[in-house]
Amino acid sequence: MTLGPQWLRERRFWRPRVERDVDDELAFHLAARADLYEQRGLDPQSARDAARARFGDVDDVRDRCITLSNERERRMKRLELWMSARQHARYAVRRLLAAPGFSAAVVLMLALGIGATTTVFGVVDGILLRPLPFREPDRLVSLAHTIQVSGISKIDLSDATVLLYQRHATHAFESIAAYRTADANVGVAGADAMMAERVSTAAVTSSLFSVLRVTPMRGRVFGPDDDRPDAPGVALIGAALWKRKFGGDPGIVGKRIIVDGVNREVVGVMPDGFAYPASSTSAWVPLGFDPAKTNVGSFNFKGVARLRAGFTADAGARELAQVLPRLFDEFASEIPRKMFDQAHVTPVVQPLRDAIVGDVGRLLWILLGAVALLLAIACANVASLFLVRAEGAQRDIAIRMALGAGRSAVVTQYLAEALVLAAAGGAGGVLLALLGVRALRLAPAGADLPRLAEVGIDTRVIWFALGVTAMSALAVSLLPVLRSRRVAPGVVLKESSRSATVGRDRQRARSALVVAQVALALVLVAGSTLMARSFSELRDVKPGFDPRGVLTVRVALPRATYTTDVLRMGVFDRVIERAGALPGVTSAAITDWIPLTDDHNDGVITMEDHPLPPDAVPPDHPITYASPGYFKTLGIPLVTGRTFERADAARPSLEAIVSRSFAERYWKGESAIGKRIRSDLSGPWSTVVGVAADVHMESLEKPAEQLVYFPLVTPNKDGPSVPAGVAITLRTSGDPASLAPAMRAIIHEIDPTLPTFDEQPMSARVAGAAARTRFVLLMLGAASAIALAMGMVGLYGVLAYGVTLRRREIGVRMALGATVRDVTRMIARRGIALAALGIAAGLLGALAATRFMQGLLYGVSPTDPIALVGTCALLFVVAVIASWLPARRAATLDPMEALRND
Amino acid sequence: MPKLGKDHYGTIELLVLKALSWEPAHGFGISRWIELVSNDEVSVQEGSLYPALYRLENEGWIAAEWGVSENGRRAKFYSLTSLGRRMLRAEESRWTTFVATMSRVLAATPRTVSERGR
Repeated sequence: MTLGPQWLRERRFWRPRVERDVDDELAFHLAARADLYEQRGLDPQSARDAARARFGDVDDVRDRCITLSNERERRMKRLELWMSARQHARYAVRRLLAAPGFSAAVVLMLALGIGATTTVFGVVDGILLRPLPFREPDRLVSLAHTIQVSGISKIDLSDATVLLYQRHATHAFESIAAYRTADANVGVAGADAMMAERVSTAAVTSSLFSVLRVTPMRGRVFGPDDDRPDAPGVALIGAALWKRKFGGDPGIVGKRIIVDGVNREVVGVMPDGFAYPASSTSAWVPLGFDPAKTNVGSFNFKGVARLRAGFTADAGARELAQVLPRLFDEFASEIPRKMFDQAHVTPVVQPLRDAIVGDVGRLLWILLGAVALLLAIACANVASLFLVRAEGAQRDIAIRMALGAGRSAVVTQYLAEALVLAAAGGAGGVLLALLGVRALRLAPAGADLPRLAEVGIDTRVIWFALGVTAMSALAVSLLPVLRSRRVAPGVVLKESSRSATVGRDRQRARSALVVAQVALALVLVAGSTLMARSFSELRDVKPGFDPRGVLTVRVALPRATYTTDVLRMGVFDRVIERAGALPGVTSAAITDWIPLTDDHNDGVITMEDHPLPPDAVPPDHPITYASPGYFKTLGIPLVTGRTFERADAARPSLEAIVSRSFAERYWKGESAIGKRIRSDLSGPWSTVVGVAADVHMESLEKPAEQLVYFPLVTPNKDGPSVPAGVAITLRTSGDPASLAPAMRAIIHEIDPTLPTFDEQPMSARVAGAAARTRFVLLMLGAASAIALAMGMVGLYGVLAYGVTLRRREIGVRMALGATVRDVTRMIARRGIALAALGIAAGLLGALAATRFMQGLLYGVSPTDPIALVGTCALLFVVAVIASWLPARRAATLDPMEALRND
Repeated sequence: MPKLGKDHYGTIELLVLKALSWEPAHGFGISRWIELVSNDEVSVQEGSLYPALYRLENEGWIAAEWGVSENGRRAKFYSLTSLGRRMLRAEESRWTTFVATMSRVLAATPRTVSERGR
């Protein structure tokens, strides 16, 4: 054994001193040649010189030989490593196959843990970490403004501010763009008008394409000429639309399409994968701002810009703030400058990714934390199983060590087993992650995750899974490895299985693992209990309308065809009349804002009896336009007063209805009926004819809005005043979804070129409003169910094994007169004590962890006592069940058997 | 006296394989053998023999082992592996074909070409 360990001998064999060997070999050659020359009569010095001359460049040859030799070395080493890894893996697999139950349990638990972690990491990576799919995405920012006006705090850009910034903010910004999204009917010019299709489009400034640095797949993008308000109509289409609607026509550029009634020339096709601002955007048209006719105060455009290299978002915001005061010098405005100044409009510049991702970040990090906990529980459980296994193998190992096996061999064995199992678990985990991501993509759209289309399992995620797998392997084999260092062969071999105290020490380690598992599981369960409470609170929120039996169908009249109020109102009247006559329909109405959607609309409201101080900023309130039957159709009770009169396009009826909270804010203690308000600073007043019950318009989480309703026909000093994009709402006594075809037929009859879209029962929209909460609840719920099951298995396992170890002791006790009850208690008490420790630790952890859930909870505090107590109780019950089973088993031992059977 | 250049790829390798086809030898022995059988006409730059040996060893055509030379010095002996033996046979026939073809081509006259073309 003086040769040293096996690997050293192999090393000596495979790794001769490369340089020395080459030198020796070449020296031998030169010496032999010199000898030959000496024999022929040369003196030694000339013989050596002649040999060298004949040889050529010795140093060059030497270098080449060393290089070649080293190459060979490396290859041999790799081969050797690979062979030995394969050897170890083969032994490990053989050993593991001999214990199929153990192996299956470990692989399953690791697969669950790694799969969950990988899935959520894939989502986090795709949404939060990965840069946006544009060139130099770090320089992209979104532009907006904050404003100090009652009702709103953040606004976008107005046409005048966009033009102003484009003109003057050129120091920090390379390029500034604006856009507005809309759904439009898109059809092929000259083709059957019925082929029109509803697609999401964006009206954009030509600079958008230079900001995002995208180039078209065919044709060109918009240029500055297309920005002029009198430019000929042009459009860009996305690759998907091009393939679907135009069959990938190679001659598409130059053809004409109809976008919402406007004839436009297709100038280019955008490449696959480009969809901005929304993942559904598939056509672009120019915004066509007219610098001579701007609307300073109407902040209806989203801003996006590219910073110059080296400038921060803050620097950009500072420059915009410097430029903004010139707004009124350069653009005509319908609102007084003083009012604008009082609103404290301040530019906000934010990295574009943050703006897109919004508030999902917190949600995703919490989910990642949750699955990390799950993985930790799985690892603890597996580590515990490994300990048991190590125990079983202890005698083997002691014998092997007594026979001279090194500790490193034992460590290698554990590591190899752990790695083989973790690899299998990791593979299973990646498989689960693939399924998980697919399931997420199909998940209720209401979870509303941005960039979900970019989420996938790619090499980065696979690397992550590999890393997690390796860490898990190390984690689970750590304890047995550490302990194997303590194995003293003499002690183990002497300590026969007759000893009652065998493995006490190991049981202690496993008990610690169980406590950790229970604690971690409690944190997860506490999280999902809180989510469950939020969800039930949210479900208890009364939306303010009665969603049952209500169908909503959207339709948009192209302004190019339906140019006048009278034409539009004529269509609406016919729709309401015919829809109302459908069998089963009790009422029908039209509105521009379906509650619980992002149809959002708000505006300035002034009240006759609340005169504003000169140049004060008027309050801003959400506004809904609705036909008279709207309140009946949606089941919104009128607290007092009546609904609108039948609207007449020629003669606005000048009526208004306000929500209860609006009335209470401005006319507390008096009747709102008869008060006069207007949605403008000037113009005719509208009389309040009714007060409607409160409705949640934006979301269930936010308090009901202070809302104002106007009739569909309103006075307006310029432009059309009857909305063009509306929703038809129907109330039926039957199934609302079954009405959709009839509704479609009615629209088709009135104008075959009008597509209907977004047909949904109102109940689906209400369900969608709680979708994010439900999504988090589902994810956390699944994680905690698995965690709970694993914790239970862990506790059960440690107790059951304890019973096996203490069989003799139990046998003696029973022989001495202990009753079944005594034994059951003895075992169960231990399990419950462990669980209680875990619950106490977990409670502290939960109190620390649930704080991060603040933004996701609704109606419960992160330290909600009911949720926390409930969680503890649940864990306790689970612990009792897990303890009772092994306790029963212990109690049913036959003492004679237990004592005899060793 | 025509001499082959130092690194006509394949030439040295073929010579080495042939040299080892009778018995294992060290580098100097191989060099000596080539010198003797070719009447010193194929005088390779002796140094370039060694990289060729290392390359062949990396390919697995020959194997190396340290031993003791006839005059009692430590020397590295090379021997042909079974793979090397197969490669030698293949290379030999390739070389023969090549030489035969070249000789025919060099012996060709315009006439023979035009006759063939007809």
